[in-house]
Amino acid sequence: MTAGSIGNLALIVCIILNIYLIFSLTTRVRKKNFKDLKKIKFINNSIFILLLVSFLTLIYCFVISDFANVAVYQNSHTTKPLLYKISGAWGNHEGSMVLFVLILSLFSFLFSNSKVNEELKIYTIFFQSILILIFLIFLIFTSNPFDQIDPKPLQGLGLTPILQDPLLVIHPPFLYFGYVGFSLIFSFALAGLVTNRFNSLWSKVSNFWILLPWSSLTIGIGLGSFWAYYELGWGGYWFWDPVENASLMPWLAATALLHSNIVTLKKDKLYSWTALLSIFTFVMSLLGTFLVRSGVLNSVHAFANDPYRGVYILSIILLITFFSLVIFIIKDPKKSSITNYSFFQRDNFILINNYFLIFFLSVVLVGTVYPIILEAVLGQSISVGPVYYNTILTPFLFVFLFFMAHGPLLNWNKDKNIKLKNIKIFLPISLILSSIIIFVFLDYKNIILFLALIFSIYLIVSVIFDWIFQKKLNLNLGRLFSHLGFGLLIFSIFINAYSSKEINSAMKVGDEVKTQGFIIKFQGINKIKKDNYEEIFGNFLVSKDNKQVQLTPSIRKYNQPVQFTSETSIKSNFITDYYFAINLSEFEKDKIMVRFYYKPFMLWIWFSVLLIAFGGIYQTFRARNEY
Amino acid sequence: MNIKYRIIILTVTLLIIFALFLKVLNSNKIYQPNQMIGKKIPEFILEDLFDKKIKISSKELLDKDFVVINIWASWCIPCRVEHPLLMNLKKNNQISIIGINYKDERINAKNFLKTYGNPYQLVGVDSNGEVSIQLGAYGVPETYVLNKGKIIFKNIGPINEDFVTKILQLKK
Amino acid sequence: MMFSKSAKNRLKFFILLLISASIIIFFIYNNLKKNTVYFYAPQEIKNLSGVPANKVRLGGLVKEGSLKKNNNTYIFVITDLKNEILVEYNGLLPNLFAEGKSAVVEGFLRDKKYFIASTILAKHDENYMPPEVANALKQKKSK
Repeated sequence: MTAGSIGNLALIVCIILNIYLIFSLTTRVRKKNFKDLKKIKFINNSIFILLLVSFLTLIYCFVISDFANVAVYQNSHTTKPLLYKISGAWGNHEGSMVLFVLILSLFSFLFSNSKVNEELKIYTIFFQSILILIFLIFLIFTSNPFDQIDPKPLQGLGLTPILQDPLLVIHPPFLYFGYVGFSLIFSFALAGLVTNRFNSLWSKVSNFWILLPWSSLTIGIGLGSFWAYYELGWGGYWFWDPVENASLMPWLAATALLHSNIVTLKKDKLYSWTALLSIFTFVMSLLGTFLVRSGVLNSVHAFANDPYRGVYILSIILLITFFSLVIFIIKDPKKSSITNYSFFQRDNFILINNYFLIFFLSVVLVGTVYPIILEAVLGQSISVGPVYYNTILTPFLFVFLFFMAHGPLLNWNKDKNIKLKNIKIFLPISLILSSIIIFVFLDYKNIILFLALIFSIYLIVSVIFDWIFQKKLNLNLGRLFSHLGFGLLIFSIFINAYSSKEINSAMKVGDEVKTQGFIIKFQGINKIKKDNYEEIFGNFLVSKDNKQVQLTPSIRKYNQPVQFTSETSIKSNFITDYYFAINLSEFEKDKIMVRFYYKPFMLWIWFSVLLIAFGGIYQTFRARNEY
Repeated sequence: MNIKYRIIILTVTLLIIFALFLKVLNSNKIYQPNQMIGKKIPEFILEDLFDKKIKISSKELLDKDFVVINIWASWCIPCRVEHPLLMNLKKNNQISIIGINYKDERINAKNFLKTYGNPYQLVGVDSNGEVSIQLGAYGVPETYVLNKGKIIFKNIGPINEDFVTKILQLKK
Repeated sequence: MMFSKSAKNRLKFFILLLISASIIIFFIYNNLKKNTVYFYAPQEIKNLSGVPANKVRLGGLVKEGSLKKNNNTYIFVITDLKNEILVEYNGLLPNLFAEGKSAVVEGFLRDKKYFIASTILAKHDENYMPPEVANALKQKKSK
């Protein structure tokens, strides 16, 4: 028995076990028998173990270069470094679908072994198992990674060099743990609705199951962005690419869900919102899955796929959406609103910002889907530029920051005191600091930049204020870190956007370019040869004022398959990044194409994302301990 | 709004979304080089180039370990460029190469092979290009490698040394 | 008919909501249209009734022998085997840009025969042909 056949067998046994599990859960539900879940847990655990075995055998096939396995044949090569052989397992459509189902099962496994009301537990595992079954069937019948080639080829086709990167090894797992992880809160919400147990107790438990995937998704998006920055060579880190948007949309929905759930917990309100968002977040995850795998998008990121699979995925997604929303409609947990309502309450500010988040999500959704639909209906091919997103989101973002600053400082209930008392402190500080920054440190003076600085500093100041003056016993560090991170992120993004510089030139060795306050000297080249590629380095000296930076970008020529990649050279410090990329041109045979970027505050951007994620992780652990 | 009303609105909305995306998926505008990879070759029957009475059927390819299908035409210049590589492949290897002559005149095709050599075990005539499109081809030349009737990789445009290496690495 | 005070308030609120929603939707739609870049193949440009004022994309094959350099400006021809457009470009040539290969450029049409490109869109690998270009070529081949 080969490893591949064990993996395949494990998947088939999983389907059988899953069907059995669903049946026995259905019986229990009908008989209202919610006691003694040992047998249920055992089957659920076994399913998880089998999927884990299946995934590990796939990795094993890659490691030993078992080219009889189609996925290994198409994506690997004996000369691939071990790390990329391993990550090749989840770097292709079929393998990543195994990871997808594995994570569905992992969350089910974790949940079933946690302390929750039995009735809720049974229903949650029930819904989650249905999800697992649906995707298992999709996996085995349309995307089986254990398909064989007989006789076994001697060598594989190789993985694209641009995807052979340590960051891309960990980016998918974090991303999947995030957006596939939202499946659990989805199932838990449906369980709550169906059993009429959608209450504050539900909210207390669900905090953990929202925060965990949310934190992971935050990191996953950050990693993807970081990869795009140093790999793609354009000095940019976010392109409003449909694939990027596909991961951002669930994140926006989940952030709204996170906050809605807090209100549900503290004020026994917004139940409909929380339930709907629990469903909607996972639907956004599924939408992202569909966009990336169905062949509808063309991007270096999208898996090479075909419309045939796309129809399957589309149908699955719409069915899941339909049934979950029907349950929501029938069981909508409408509760009476509380009297003594005042505008200046924390829950109200959270609600307002949730509307903003949904608005942001809609803007991104429209921008992503509009070209696809237009092409199908009118046959006209278009693309939506970043200017659309930037123009629409920016003004609303400023207002959002304002509410975000004051929300946490308000009471949960009506406050007799004056409403936004701290404006008198925050506004002057923000104005002064922004003015100093923009007039002393930056050369680009622009009203939008000025406003961005004001509002982001406003938020940061409010968080610091909150930190200092909040009662130590109740310190909500998670919120403080994440909100601070977000303020810092907006601050850094805008400074970076308005102060970046770009210099393009075609240069020969010895050439010097003087422009925009920089002197770029092409000092020389050297070449090296490695196992699966040859590399040409360019040595450049970039001078600005008194500062001198040495940069060595390169071009690699891979053998299997023959491909050229451009490797950037980046020198970072807390003020700025010096970023250099080169490429050759078939036409300009004696010159090298040179791209230099001056990118301020990049480290701050990465740091902010980490801060946001850290806040989430911290709060996840707190939530775990609390129940 | 009562429950039934909402469910109806939901159903209609989702059906519209479904229809819209179905149209998106079916529109021929979607072109990915690896579209047919992993799939079984679609069924076809073509007339042999040299003898109209002989029919070449896709069924014959289903039990062959490895088969190369090369879509070509006498009027296609890149086909002439890749031709020597095909000739070499035939000389050195046991892998059979099946040619599909795309939107061509039989006389021109036969002359082409007489002048430059015939690397093909069999040549099928696809005069209106339908079979090639079913294979997922978007033009000429395109080359497919099959394992027991399943497409395991393909090359768009004229083949090169890299591609030949991959074929040679299939078996000893 | 007498409306109660709360009904009047709700009506006011609803109207306000409707107006703001309409403004926002108009704002979004307008922005979307303004920042939508249309793609054309050379033949499609020939069939246009006028010259688009917005930024557009042009895609096809770079005609063999057409790539030339004039000081810092490159000149080349984009063709879809049915029509040709002359392109002027002032920037760096990306890695995979070559005669005989497909390319997509972004910029403005000066007239139906002349395109001023500000960007050449980079591709990911040699065998990748942007779908729009492939379609343009496909239509030629199926005639």
